[in-house]
Amino acid sequence: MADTKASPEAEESQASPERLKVTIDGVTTEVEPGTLLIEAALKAGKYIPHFCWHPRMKPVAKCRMCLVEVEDQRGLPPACTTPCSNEMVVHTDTPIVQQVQESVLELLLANHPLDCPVCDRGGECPLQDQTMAYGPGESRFVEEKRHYEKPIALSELVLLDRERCILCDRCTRFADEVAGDPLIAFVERGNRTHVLTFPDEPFRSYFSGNTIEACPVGALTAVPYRFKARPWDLEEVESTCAQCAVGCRVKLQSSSSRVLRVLGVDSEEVNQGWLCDKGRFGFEYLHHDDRLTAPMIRIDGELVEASWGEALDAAADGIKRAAKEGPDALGFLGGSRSTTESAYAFSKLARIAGTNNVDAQLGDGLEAAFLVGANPRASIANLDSAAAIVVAGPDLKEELPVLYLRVKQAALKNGVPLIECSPMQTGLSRYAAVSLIHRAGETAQLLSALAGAAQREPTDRPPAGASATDFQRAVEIISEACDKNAVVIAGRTGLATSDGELGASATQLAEAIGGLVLPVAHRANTMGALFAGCAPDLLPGGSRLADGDGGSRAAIEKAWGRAVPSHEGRDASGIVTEAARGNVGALVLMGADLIDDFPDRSLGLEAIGRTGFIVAIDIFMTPTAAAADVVFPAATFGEQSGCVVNIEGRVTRQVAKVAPPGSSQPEWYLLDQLTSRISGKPARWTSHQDVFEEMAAAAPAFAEVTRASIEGAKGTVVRASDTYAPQEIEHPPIATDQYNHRVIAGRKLYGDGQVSGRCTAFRRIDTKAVARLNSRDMSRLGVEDGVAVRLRGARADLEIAVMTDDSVPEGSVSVPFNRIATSSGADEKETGESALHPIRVADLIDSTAAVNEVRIETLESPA
Amino acid sequence: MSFSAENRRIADRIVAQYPQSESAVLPLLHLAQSQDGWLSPDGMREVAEILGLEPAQVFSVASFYTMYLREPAGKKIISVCNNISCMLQGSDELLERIEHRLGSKCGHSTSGGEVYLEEVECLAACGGAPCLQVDGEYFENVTIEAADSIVDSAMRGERPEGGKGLPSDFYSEPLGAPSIPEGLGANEGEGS
Repeated sequence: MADTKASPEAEESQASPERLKVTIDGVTTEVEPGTLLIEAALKAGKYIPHFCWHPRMKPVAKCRMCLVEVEDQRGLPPACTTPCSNEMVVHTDTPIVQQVQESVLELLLANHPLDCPVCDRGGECPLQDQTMAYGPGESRFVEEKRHYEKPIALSELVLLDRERCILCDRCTRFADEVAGDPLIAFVERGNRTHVLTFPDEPFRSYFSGNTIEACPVGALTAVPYRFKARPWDLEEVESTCAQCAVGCRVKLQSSSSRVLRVLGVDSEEVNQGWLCDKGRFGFEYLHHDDRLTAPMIRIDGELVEASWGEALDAAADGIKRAAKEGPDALGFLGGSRSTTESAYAFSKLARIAGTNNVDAQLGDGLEAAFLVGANPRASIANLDSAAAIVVAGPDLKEELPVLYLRVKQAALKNGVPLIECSPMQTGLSRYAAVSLIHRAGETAQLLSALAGAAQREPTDRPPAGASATDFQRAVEIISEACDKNAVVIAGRTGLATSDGELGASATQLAEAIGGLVLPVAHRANTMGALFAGCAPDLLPGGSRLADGDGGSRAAIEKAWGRAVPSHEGRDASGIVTEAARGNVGALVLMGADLIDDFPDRSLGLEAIGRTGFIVAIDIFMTPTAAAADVVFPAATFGEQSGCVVNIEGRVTRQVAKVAPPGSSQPEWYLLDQLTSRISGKPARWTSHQDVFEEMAAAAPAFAEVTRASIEGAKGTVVRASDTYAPQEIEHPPIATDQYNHRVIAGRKLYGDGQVSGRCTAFRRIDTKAVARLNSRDMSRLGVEDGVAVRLRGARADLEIAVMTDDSVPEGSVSVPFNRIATSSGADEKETGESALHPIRVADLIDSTAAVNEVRIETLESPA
Repeated sequence: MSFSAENRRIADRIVAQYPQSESAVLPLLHLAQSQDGWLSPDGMREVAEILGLEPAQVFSVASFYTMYLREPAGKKIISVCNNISCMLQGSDELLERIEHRLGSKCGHSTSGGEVYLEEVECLAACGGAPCLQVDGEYFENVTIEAADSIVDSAMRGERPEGGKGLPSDFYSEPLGAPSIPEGLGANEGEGS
């Protein structure tokens, strides 16, 4: 766990690997120079008791529990800050060490309340365990212990009982060192020292839950878990988080078939033990009363409960009827929220039904061929030692928080220069060597210009309104990083811009600097769904459909016993646009909400309204599902087993722990039934393993992904059969209108979505939508913070409060995509619909345009 | 609070003295305290903003040191040394006299919030014992008469005469009216 800085000295010592020999309690082991004694002991199988040392944080030797005896050294050094030296002989259980351990514990317990029977940590508490193992048995302290108000809320999610705290500094170090949010600190001194936030400034870090897990006592507890269970009542499985596409490894703990807690698993490749609070606390939706529990079919305009058989028949009939009108009368959207197995079943159903109109992304991602086939593809761990990192994508802190931690760590700890190409400042800006802030929607132009400049193509002025000085600085950094594994992170920068050529230009830049690409997607299993063929131009395994009679197509047709349709399929935008014109007979939506989770809400509404037959497979009655003709209740995260694929292409397992509500089924099951009814062949699968085996047989890319290889935290990385090679890039010119504001519509970590909106843990977190504007624009408009303005967009008007934010450049306006703005709508252009649904940012957006602009009007002050 | 224009200039000068700006946290806190008479949450917030720190980090530092007063106190602060040299030279009598003159006890502020009186450990001016400070400015060899005039000036909100000069940029002339809210004249808690 030692720092691996890329300094010349480090390289030298690597060149001549000098190993140190250390003897701990008679066991001799060899370690790298720089290894701490406590780490060497763990390696030698010798546990040295400790509280403050944490393998992912800098040692501070605060708790004094790890004092050991080193031969030929005076005193007892702490094992957590003592580096090993050659021929060191260490004793960890001599009488003197034992005596010191007893004394340290007696002192740590001097003020500790010993309220283990009512403490959440009791039963899994390092202080309790080590007191049992190394403690004195009884205390000589008879004085009254410290008292504090208990508990106090550090934030909406974290509670603190200060009298239990042993001042180990883990939570405060985590907040500062790892999360970069030093919002908690030691205050007062001496006997009164305790951990606290600044008055009225809560510990609102996206990573606050990690402090609870790191706390070696019960001082920090989680609001959602407090008093919910005892550790010995919990059962657990290891799984992969389903909140975003980073794919953090988690432990899912449950009792009586209810998920009660999610903990992080230290996977060096992915999350290094950390989780974001959304991943940690965002599971309560699983047990929400709103979960769908039975299939429903529409009879006389009403959705009524039906048997599985009836619903499956009705869905199959509707799909078959529409299929007679040709492949473009069908549209299949979704899959990125499901397991890869279910996504494969979805892709297969679409093809068996006769269409290539299938898309896992909802018009909110990048080219599917780029996402699966990016080449050469970076892993998350590549970031640690990259020569430079270019981030051209969403605000990672909001959308892929644990990836943000890794990038931040690379920049701050390893000194990797970070270039940020973003339409506005993001959570990473303060760690960036250069922030190339530019006009929204023109990121691709900027990347192409960087690629050109890296190859010494003269550029007179950087495109997209980026600053010439910053551009020059960025060019210097990437030129310096040429051929040294720089990483270009590329993802959709926002939902109000199409970012059409972003994948191509990111690839172009990576090629120009001899670097790697890490494409990022938003939803948890977008990559898995694309690898399973949920894209119009891809077949399972990520091979290109257009490549025709190649081996993969043949293998798939053999596995399916059917020809794969050969027409050119439509992506989500194409399908929804055609549906809005009334040209689609049947839409099959799997975890896809075209009304509340599609960038162009009015188009989505129109599509739903004009499509004759809609099948929705979902976990809640979304506005889209409510308009469907057949609704299937699906099992979701924690309720079904299968594999998922993260942004790196890493395949890991999700494991079922609790039963799905009612008669909900894993999607692959009902899709297999539908496939059987449509093809007239018997259903094939009885478990997710059957699906996996068929997929592995059909898709050559999955051939090496065996069940055994994806068992652990590391999983295995899958590579697309066809790598992505962009065509010649042409950047269509984008006109700028100086009277308008360019819309930046990113997602915030906490939104009002179907899932987060149903987690009580997040209920008290403010998710009010505001529009953010540069201070110059604010004074030009003559408005102050909190005042409502009207955004006049191409599709609709939106009344929303404004807030000054100089991280937004002049001429742009930032609005959160996944939050509800306002429901006023008195003078809306649309009628009926807007009264039905709260106004969302997606109402503003025309997804067919390259960029969206709004005119900002002040509202007449009420007389 | 927010720093006066003059104090903001002083603050910038202090920050410029350090290779790492966060090293300026202690002097800036003194500056904020001397402007207000106490270290308010807003004062800490402003110091944090100037130094690019989180307020919690500044709070952590401020709460460690007893010389920062985190409760409203009098506009001017008189600190009387009670260590051995001063005691031998009559600091007990001096303190008693000042309490009497102010009409408020040590560790408290006057009822109008003009002056906060505290007893402090060695001020390292034993050669000039008995000594005291008014807003950080040293007054040495303080006689009973001198103490009366120091107290009177302080009560009028003026800088007393006979001092050794404001010690550094860390301190400023107090600004404006007493910050102490009405009814808080008798400040709870032992000073220093």
